Amino acid sequence: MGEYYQLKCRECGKLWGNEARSFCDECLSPLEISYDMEAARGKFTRKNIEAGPTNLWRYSGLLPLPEGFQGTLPTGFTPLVKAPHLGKRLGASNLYIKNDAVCFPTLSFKDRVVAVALAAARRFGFKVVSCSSTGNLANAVAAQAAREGFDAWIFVPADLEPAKITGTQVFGAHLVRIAGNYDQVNRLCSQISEKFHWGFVNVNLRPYYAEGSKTVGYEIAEQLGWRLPDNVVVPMAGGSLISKIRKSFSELIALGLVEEKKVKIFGAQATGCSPISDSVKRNLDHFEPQKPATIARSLAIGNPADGYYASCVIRDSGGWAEDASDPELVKGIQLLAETEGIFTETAGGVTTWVTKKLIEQGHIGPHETTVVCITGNGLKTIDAVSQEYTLSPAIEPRLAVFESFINDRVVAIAGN
Amino acid sequence: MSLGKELLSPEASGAEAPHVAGDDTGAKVPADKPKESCVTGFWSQETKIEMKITVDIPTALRRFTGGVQSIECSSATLPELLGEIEQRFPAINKHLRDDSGQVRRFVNIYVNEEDIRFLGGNEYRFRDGDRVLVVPSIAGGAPADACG
Repeated sequence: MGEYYQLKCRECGKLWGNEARSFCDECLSPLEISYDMEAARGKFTRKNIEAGPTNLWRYSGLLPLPEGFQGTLPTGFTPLVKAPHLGKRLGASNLYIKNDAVCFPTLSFKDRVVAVALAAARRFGFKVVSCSSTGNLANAVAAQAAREGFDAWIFVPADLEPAKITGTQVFGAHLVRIAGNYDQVNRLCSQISEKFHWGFVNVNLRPYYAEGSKTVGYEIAEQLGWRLPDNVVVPMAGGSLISKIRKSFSELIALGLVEEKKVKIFGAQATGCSPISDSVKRNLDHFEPQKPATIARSLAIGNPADGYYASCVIRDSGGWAEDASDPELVKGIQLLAETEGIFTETAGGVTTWVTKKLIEQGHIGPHETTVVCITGNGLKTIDAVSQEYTLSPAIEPRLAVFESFINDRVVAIAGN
Repeated sequence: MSLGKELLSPEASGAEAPHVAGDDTGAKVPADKPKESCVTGFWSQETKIEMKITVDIPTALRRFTGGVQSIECSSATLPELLGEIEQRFPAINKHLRDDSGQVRRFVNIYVNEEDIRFLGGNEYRFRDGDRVLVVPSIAGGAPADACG
């Protein structure tokens, strides 16, 4: 088999071929997909990519897909939009939003990783796919499993937002609610995966799954006209996305698709669950696990699997990390919505507010090209902001009533 | 949406059937005779009380334990416990700890389902009946040009 990728131990370098496994038996360290970059050089070109479909499969040349795989799910290739109004409010003239709040089919960046993971699940012969999730992954696995004909078993903390619960069940998935936090769910799934022959996308398929995150980075570069930004701001839960965005930029540089540039990588967490930003800010060589206490449930991972790597990537890039409290992240959601017309979930509120802090602190320069990664949709966490608004009483459908209503409103606004 | 029984059955994986602690697995080290075999150099008189903890060995490390899936020990703390496990299964040493003797970065230790780091880590004193889990953490890895 002339495969151009295989599993490699990140720490001891042992090669493992391709199988459903996520850690090295020798040193229990994580496995990473390693590519034959010389083989990729001929096919992962701007020309070939631009001739591909307008979805993430245009980057198949550097994804760990089975031979002959033809992706049909049109996920990824979400808008990269200039954000002048938000930029003006924050004092940044060259700000962009990478908007995965509209990723197909379940409105978060997790649709990308699941698309790649299910290709691997099919290849390894699994009939059941599974995951531990803070919600967005649950939705993505459930939806794509339905489409691809897998049975899905989804494990979540019991207190997830209702939209993420229903948004999993509607696809016919088996939803298992665990009385515990995500870290406990994740530990349980590690144990289950040893006993059940299931394709856990973020356990035994994790090396394949995580590669799907690289497409966010490829798209940013391509949509900027094949150049890298000066800065990216990325939300951190398990810490995988931020590491993979870095990997995508490194690959584009190595293959000559973009000019070499040291992109500063910034991480965003919720203050109530900030083991990685805490590690960066205190300059620790490890992170200290936390018990999550935040409404940003999609970021509520207190023992982030890739936390160590995430803080390394941030430091090595010359970036920084910050966090936003619950009241701040709500203001972040409102700020992005009111300035750019993008309604993001709690995680996006964190990322937006952290961007504000990083600009204020001088970590991000006012005229640098900065891309803010928005990874999920506000309709999934509507309770986080709904209490910020009041409903006016219903009025009768008569013009005179409306005129009276608007007069009162104008007086009220003038009085404020 | 029905899930075939074969999918729920671990045997369907083609892997060996799972054993639980206390099963007669044909293991070389019977789980019901822990005391003689568990005394180590770390063992001190003052902690020598009737105490038994059970350690679950992850699949990845069972080739160093002769297939034994769980062992009973009597150490008082995590550093002592690692010594005790390694005394019994010397080959496991370099897989559990790094060159400096610390538990490897990507190995998580749980006591009764709680991460030992929340219980005081190396300072935590085991209690009779504690169940200790060794779980490799599942990370996605990182590019080779970071993390030196």
